[in-house]
Amino acid sequence: MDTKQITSDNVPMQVSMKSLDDQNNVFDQKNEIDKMVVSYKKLFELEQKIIDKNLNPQSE
Amino acid sequence: MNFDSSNIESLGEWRNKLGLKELDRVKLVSESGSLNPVKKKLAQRKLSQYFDLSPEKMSQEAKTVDMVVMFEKFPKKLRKKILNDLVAFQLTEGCNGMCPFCLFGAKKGVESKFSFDSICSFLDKYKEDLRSWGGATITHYWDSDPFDYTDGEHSYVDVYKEWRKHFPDKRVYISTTVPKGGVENFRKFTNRLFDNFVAFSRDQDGAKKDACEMRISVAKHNVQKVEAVMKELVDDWKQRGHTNEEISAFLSTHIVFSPRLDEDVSRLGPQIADHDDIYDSSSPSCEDGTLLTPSGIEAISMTAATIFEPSGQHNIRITPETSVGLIPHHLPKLEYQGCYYANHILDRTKYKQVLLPLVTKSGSSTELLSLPNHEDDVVFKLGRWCVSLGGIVADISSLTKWAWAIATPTETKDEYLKLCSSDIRKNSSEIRDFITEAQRLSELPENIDINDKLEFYSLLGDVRLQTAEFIAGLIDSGTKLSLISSTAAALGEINKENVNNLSEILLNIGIVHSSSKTYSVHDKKKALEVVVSLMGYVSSNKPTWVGVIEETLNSE
Repeated sequence: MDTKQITSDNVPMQVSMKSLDDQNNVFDQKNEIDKMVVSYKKLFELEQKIIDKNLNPQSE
Repeated sequence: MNFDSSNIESLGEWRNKLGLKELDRVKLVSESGSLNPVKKKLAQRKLSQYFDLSPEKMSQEAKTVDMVVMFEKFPKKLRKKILNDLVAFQLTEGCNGMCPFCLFGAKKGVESKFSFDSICSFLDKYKEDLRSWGGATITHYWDSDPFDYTDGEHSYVDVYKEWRKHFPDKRVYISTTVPKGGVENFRKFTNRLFDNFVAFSRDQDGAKKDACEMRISVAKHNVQKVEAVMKELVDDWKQRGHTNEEISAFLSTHIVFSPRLDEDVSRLGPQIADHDDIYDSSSPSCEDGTLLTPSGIEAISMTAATIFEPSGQHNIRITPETSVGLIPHHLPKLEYQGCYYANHILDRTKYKQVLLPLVTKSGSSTELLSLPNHEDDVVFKLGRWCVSLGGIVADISSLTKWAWAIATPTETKDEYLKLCSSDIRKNSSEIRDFITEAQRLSELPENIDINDKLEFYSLLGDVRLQTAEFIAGLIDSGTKLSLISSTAAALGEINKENVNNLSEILLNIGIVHSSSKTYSVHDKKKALEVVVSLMGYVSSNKPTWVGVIEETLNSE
């Protein structure tokens, strides 16, 4: 049995990974998910940079 | 989430939700003449806040434009294309709706309008060209409110009557917020619709069905006003002897109240600076085509709403010198995306239309419309692919959310999903080329002024494509619909705050939808709580898709 500690601000809890056999489709794509997270973060950072630059053009 | 309604009681519910008191306009008008100075001032202030308009903002005082003269400045060939792909007549430039959710930014009242006489001449002269226009709806507003329109003695009611002379059966769709200064015109129009509805439903001689639908958008700034005016109208109809049933039937046939409460409004338009999630880059814009406005003619097309194009609408100002190649082929979004009824899924599967195509030239559904500048064109095409890919993911997330979708046969939904996947796969290489090209252009020294924009569209395209391909991967590997749909819903709501939790969110969604008997209902409920928490939802305002899963788990 695999276990994973999942902690969030409101709901600290332990979820047991009793059987993932029927969910391989999602869990097997860890690399894809990590890549997506990196892309999302890059996009959010760039957007913030552009908004900040427009608000304070002289700071550039 | 609040839903469109034709029930007048909904207005009171939404007003209460916003913590606002009910307004009585008739009482306020009476009190504004009170001998009690405090009462008088208070009533006058409220009337001015909600109903009355200063003259400089009224359509009556605005610059008048002759529709025929303006239109005939364009060469014949261009005029034909403009009419063939016409989406809407915009009767005024600027409006008095004062809507905080307006996608096109704040307005300073009405700045210009078409003269009534020129509208009549235009319809008379070009009715045949308009009639040949596919038989679909030509909207009577765009970035404006029809009840702002006045020219001399004429109001929108007269424009509508003139339109009906030429197009007695065509469906008319208008949207209003009952703008300041427009209450009497709104009342007059609604009464006309009501009287016609009653005459038609009672089979009176000469009465014809009027295919008109009026959406009344309500938000914090106008819900009290709309409720007060609608109650006045209903009271009047009752005094004239009409029954509740008759009034309800009228409302459900012709009127839709559309709530724009804070929780239902995406951060678009001027609020884009607060934009913090990819979901917001979906487009509220719904058609490609042309607009006839008092300030000129525009070519419009659907694009992703971003900090660069907050309205989600790409505009090209058409001048008499503009090439006909820049007029977009008319395309309504609903033929491809935005599922509302079961038939939408059936139709899209039948016609193989799930991914919004790139904008094409007027008269062709295959010849792509390209902007003259290469960099602009790459951004234009990526903006379109972004809204298209986002739309397909949003539609997939709807498949287990709404009652009509849940009731649709599984085979139909499976076929639809396969089509979505194959369409994503079919276009991914072309989209990837645009992403790569935008990135390459952003690195060129000559593009220093627009490198942020090019990089932004490259990244947005990349995120959209990765998300769509991830969903396509789930479809191709035979993952069950409930899991695909929840994954699509979660991916559509990823933002700066929850992006680091994505892996855990998907993992727990997997448990929620697990078919394995090793997970009890209790385990699944706990996993859903984790999803809710990691997504950053507050328990008092969870999205619909979470509520649907909760209901399903509670019934197990």
